[in-house]
Amino acid sequence: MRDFRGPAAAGLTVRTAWSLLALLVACVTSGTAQEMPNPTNAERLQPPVPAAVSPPAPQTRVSETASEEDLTAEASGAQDEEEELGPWGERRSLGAAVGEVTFINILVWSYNEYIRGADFTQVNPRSWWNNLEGGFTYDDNNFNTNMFAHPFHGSLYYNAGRSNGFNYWESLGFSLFGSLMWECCGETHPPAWNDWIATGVGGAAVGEMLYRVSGTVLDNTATGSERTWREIGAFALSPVRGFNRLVSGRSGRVMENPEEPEDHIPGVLSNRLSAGVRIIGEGESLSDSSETHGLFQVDFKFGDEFAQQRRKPFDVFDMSVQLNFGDKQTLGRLSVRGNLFTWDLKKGGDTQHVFAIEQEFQYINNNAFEFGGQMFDASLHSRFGLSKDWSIRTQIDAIFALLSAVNSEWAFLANDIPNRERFREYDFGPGVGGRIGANLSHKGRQVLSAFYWYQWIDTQNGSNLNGSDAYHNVQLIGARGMVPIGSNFGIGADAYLFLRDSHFELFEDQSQRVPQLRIYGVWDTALVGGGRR
Amino acid sequence: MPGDVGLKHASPLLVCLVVSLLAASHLEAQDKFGFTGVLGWETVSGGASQVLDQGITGEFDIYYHFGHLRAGIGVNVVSYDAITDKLPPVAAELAQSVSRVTLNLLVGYKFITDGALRPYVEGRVGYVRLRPEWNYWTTPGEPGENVEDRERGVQYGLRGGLEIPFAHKWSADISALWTGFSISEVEGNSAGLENFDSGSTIGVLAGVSFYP
Repeated sequence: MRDFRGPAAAGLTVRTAWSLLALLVACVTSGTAQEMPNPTNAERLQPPVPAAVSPPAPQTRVSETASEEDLTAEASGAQDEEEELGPWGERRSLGAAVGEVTFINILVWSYNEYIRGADFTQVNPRSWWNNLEGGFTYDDNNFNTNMFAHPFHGSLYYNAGRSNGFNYWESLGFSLFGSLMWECCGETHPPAWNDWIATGVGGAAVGEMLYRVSGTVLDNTATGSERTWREIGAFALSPVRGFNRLVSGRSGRVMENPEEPEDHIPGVLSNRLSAGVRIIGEGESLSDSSETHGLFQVDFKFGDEFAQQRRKPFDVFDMSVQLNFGDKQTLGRLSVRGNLFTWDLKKGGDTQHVFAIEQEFQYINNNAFEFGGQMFDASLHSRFGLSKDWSIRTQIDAIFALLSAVNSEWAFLANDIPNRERFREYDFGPGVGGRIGANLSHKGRQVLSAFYWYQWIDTQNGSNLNGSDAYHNVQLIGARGMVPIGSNFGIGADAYLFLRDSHFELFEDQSQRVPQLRIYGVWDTALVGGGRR
Repeated sequence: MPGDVGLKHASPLLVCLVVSLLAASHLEAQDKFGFTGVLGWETVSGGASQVLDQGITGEFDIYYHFGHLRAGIGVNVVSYDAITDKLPPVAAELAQSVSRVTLNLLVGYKFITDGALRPYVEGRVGYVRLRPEWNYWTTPGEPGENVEDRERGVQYGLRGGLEIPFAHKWSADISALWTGFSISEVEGNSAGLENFDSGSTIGVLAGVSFYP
């Protein structure tokens, strides 16, 4: 029978540690107890003396029709004026963020325990210790769970930080912390590397994207039903942010929008909706084993690295989501790329160059292939203005994949999978790659584009049975064209080719070729600042 | 408690605590939302004590305060050492520990809300599940489903404790907890045990509370 006394068996070392801890707690208690504030209720409710108060930040102003409740809240807020408020009026609160991350984990655990009836939810201090002692491994969840659901889960942790006043880097810490808490204590399965990276790192990309997109929906100056629908829309995009706005009262309070446009609606923004058909084949041509499915796609571009003044993480990002009707999964693709650091190499004039470090999240899942991962790119963006209305943009990327996944014939042999529940059909591994792309735009609307992407994945778990060598060479090639109809509509078509050449030390090499053709109608629903010109 | 804190090591703690408590005479009430996380130890009595020995417990609660009253929900998880003397060797190997998971509704009363020591009592009632902790290979096509049925039932309890604020938004929480539970009958004949469908526990918990 396992003895849970664990490190207590270390004897003297533990006794010393407890003594030191006791002294530390005592001194902290002694020190901070002296400093605890003692405001009376009257003091809490008095408005501040004007001479002692610096001019309030815009988000703390209240409208002329403010109620007594608003004035009370304003006085209470002014008392904590030394607290830094975020651009949307959110108070920076470490404890609230940590509490929400914990509550999210309890909510997900409760769903697994009471609704799914899962076999991995009987957690307790013994299982927590076992997980800490056992260390990280890999798991066998399906591709959708590991490469989409976990990053979405991570986005909830991330936005617990973001909507409590923390920036991108600090909130990345929350997504990593929340995932670590789950891996340790939310399930009895041993912690998995792929879960921590997908949830922690992928959660930051998906979370920041959802945070920024929800910010474009919000309007603090709106009232009535328009305000209600905007708050509901933002809640649907970022539930944790919506919850925090609701409980803090900001969802109903009329106040100014963020001062800087990048925190709300940037100077350049575009949104394109596409609907049509997608034909996907296997082998040399589209007619080989082809399938036809309906498709719906959203391409959202936030900011412009050539026009942007502010350069915070994700002040410029692209998001693309594709729904494949009738395919294996309705969510066929989700792609997020956001600038973390940006430097101007050449500004002004018809030719401009920008160098950026970007975070990239990729998820592609259909009947023919699976590909995805958490990546970081070093990118050279160039813009060549041809005339007032026409421009060419190019992008050259060096890609480092922290952890990628691709379908593989021998992935089911993956060992080191504790508590195996299924056989996985994809390999995990880091890798490097490169990508070049170019697009031709007319009045901010993309009319022609092409790209080539090569990715090498070194299998760490999957086809590399017993540590044997296995790697994949993945190539994606695409070209797209769009004929504008009017200023907002158009007809588009694109062709893609997925190529995979897989090498296995113990087995015969495998290749895969998947051509794809898409034809669709286009509606550019938003072109702020004329789109990316 | 893990380790062994003798009087020699505890005396600095006691001295500092007394000094700090005497100095902190007027303290702000910690109210509205609060979170509590505790770890503890408990022992079992009643019918279930045939099978369950001592257990290690963890609990996380969320409260909302209405003056002296507080209401909330919490999750309590325990891992019991199983008494396997009378079980066949294979079963004994598999059934080394038993898990109890309880989702509780909590109602409490804090006698002092703004002092240096804040005693409270709390009643709880919850939905309990008891099951062995080993993992089986599950049926293909049904991943995640538990092979073993859980014994389910109702748990009720009483907790008495002390909150000791040590910072503006933080308190230490020390408490004693008694619970009783009533579950679907566990047949023990094959193991030479009497059937049982209830038990009670008594234990201690310690941790922190946070009021954002």
